[in-house]
Amino acid sequence: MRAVESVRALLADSDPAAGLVADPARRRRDLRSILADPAGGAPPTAPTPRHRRVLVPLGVLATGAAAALAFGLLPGGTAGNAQAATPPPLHYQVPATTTPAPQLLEDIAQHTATLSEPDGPDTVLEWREWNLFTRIDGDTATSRVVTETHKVVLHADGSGTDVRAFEGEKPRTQQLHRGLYPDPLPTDPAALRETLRRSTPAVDNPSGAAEAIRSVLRAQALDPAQRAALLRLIAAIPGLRYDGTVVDRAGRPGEAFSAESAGSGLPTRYTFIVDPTTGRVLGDEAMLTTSAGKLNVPVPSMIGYTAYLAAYRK
Amino acid sequence: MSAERFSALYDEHHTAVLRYARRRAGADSADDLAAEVFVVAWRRWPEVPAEPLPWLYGVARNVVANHLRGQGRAERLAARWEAEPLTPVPDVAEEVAARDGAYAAWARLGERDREVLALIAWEGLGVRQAAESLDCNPASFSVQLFRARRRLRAALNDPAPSDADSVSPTVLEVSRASG
Repeated sequence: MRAVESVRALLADSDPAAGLVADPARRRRDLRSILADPAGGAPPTAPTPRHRRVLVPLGVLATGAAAALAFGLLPGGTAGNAQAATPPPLHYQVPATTTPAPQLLEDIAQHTATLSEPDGPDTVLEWREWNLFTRIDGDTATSRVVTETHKVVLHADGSGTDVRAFEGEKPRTQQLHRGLYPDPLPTDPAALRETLRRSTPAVDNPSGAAEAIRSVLRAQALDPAQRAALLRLIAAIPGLRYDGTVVDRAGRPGEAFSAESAGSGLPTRYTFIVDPTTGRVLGDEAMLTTSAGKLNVPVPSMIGYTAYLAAYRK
Repeated sequence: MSAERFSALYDEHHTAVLRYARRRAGADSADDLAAEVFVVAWRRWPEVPAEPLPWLYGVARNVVANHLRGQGRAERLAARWEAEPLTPVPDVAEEVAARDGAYAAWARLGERDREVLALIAWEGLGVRQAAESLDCNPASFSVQLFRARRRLRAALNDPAPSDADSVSPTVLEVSRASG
């Protein structure tokens, strides 16, 4: 909508609360006080989905050169032979700081490392993603979009379940076994990098780092020290820049950092959205910048998105 | 279970609500107002929708309005704004001056215009979410947004306050506190 975009452009640099974060101690104290209020907390009503979207069958898994680009995609599931609809880019509040991106992430990492969180034998992970599946037959590309959610519970012995739901379908439970990262990740950034390199050799460039981070966040609930190490890994991505504050696709504010590479086959910008108060990666995005190759999507175009909704131990 | 889910909601949205309060009520009371919004959310937990942020902003709007009315702060804040104009930071003076120009233009608009513009530009909501926050339909909101944008542009072209009735002490305080 043009009015939306122009209003944001007019006021983009004028946000009086840009970059504002709460004092962590005050924030925790307030939460404790609120939860102590006996007048609250009645059982919630079951949420109902706001939008019912088209379910896309999965018989169109990517083949050929573009298979590596079968990223998550867009919250408005579409199907068909027409050019696939892709989600609009997020609106980034232009940064009001000249501090380099790595230093900003280092600051968040240092704060994150001081946090403490509950531990426990079980890990719970939830995320929502949008997948674009593309089939290329000669000169014909068919791109389709699938939305899916995951709720994973992992036990100490490496077993677990993944309740996976494609939009419009009943959830299905899949038994999990020891995965890609069965052991706790190192809290030393160099050691973390070497651990990730074993499964993702390209971890030193933006596309490889994005792939490795996506894998990690689907496999473990990182404690604060591990999150700090992950932030330092992101900080070391070549060409990393700070894009400013943003509200992610799950409605959460965060700080956005991005870097570009063609490591996956097409020039792509990889963006990580970080909650500065918790050091959590809230989401990741991938956007084609100059060429879609044979993918049947416009340029620039969002070609992948994940919202990490929960990651904790209990 | 409710406590866990509420804590997750709190963690996810506290910063957004805090910033909402800061934009409208200044730095001094933003923390208290954010806490009050979540007190309401906890007490009305069954009403919190699956997409909570627009709902939280709706609560925040009432909390901020009550705060300002109850405290009688509007006049005092207006007086402080008039007495203490913004002082740009020297090393980013040009950027701040431009920003303050937009602040000032926004501050001269009526309350509804400011809210409509802020929900889109600073809270980052889409039209549907913003309409939900203001409890109106998206079509109506779009019309309001269009008109608010037109008035903002007019205010940007005319830096002198020309409509005394539409001056917002609240917003002026936000601007001053952030400068």
